[in-house]
Amino acid sequence: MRMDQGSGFTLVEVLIALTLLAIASVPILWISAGAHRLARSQAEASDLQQRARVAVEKLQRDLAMAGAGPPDGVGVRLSALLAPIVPARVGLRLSDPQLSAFPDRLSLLYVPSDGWDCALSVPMASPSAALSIERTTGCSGVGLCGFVEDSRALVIDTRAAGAGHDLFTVTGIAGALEHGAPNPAFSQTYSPPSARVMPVVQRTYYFDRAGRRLMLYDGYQSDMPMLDNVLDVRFAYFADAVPGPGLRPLTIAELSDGPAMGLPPNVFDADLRSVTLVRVTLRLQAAADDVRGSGSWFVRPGRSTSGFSLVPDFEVTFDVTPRNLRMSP
Amino acid sequence: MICDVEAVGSSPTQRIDARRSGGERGAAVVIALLLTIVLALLGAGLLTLANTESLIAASYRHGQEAAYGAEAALERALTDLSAMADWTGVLAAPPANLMSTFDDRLASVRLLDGRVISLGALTAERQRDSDALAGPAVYGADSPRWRLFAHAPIQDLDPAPASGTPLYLIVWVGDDGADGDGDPAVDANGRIQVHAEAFGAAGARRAAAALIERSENGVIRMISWRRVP
Repeated sequence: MRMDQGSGFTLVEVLIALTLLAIASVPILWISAGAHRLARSQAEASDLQQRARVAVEKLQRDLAMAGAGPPDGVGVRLSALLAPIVPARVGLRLSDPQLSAFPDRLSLLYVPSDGWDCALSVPMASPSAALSIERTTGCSGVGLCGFVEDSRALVIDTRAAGAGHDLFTVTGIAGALEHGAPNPAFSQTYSPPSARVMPVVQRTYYFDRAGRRLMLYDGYQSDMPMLDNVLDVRFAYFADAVPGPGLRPLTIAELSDGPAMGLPPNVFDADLRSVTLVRVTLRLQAAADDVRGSGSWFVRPGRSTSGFSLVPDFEVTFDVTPRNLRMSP
Repeated sequence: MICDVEAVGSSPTQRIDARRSGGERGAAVVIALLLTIVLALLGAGLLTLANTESLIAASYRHGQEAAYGAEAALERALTDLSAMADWTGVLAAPPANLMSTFDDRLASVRLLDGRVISLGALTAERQRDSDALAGPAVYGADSPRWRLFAHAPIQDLDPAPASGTPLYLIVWVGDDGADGDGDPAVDANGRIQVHAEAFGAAGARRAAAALIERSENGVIRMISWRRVP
């Protein structure tokens, strides 16, 4: 285009062109922005669903297996001897008081699939003495009868329900199973043949309300966040109705008022042994506040005012029957 | 639309120059193309996300179905085991071992997702997995020898499930390693292990296992139940 021949655009032409271009761009940008908002909210919704799936799968699996004893061996039935599910934080650090119960936390334990159990060779001299392990069949060649340093383990008196148990982390395997500091001294001394020792998975799920997280505690020294952007966590407990059929709810008060079983500090409410179903409720929110709006869909309102492409809070409730708690006598 | 703008208020010479250069007409095409590309990319992203989400959800569903299928197989096997007076018969070496009535008598099966599973190969795999955890190094001569006990499609259960993905169920039994009789083909203490697996769609495979014992009144008592990784 040759500008010296006056073939350029006048200012008015340019302004009109720009105005028309702007007007034409509005619906285009509106469509584009809508598509972008939709893409963003879908990614948030997908993340929300995935977090819910992970939590449900993990809780379902752990609750279903709670109380599982060794997969082989002399037949230790853990659920008949202790309460594998406790509505409180249990462990070395910040443990809840004995016989306390809370709706937003749950501790459980089970022997892992590659677990075993073994006997003591001699009685303990004191509650802090190392455990002398009987090396017979059932012992793997690794470490001391399969135990290595930092293994989480359970020692239990199998004579009767509530006869006593202790959870500890192995601090040494030089000749005997050591359970020194920071483990507390055992609640009692254990003796063969009634005492059995086995590896154990111990977990406490609890709601960190301030941090809005579902947390996982290993019973020893590690608290880990498991799920972010959690708005609520509730556990409810049920027992078989008498006379049946059906279920009756066990209140938090019932689960903390005794009668007490076990030895301090590992005392538990006898009503926990009648739990046959655990109901879990989780409420999650979208991580980004620009896909959260206001109203009953949102516990914590976000900053979206458009009313479109919102990701409402997601609440899921599911029931789990702990398989090892609902067994024939 | 932009072409019309060029024409408004232009002299004949300007219009001719504009047509020769064709600049604004090109701009319209470029803008339209850019917008199309942006929207297409956003659309493709959404489709990928939706597709991934759908695959994850389907995988989760197939896994859950298989997990419950394995539990159903375990329960079915316990029903047959509770009717047997002595479990030594189920621990005998094949072909003398007693089998469940939940048995389709096939040696290999083509699953819904195209996989072909051989029951012999899976039994050998079960034995290898067991030996790795609690084999002769741990229990010596008492280490379990796994025997096929039941295998059939889930539709053969009575009652058959009304809906859901077809699953293939397999159950093995093995002696406990702690009975001390030195013979994995003999049940000396009324206690055995049961391992059940379910094969579902899209490669889903889940297992459940139990250590059971016969109580004094003949009723089966489950000592330990677990989902196997």
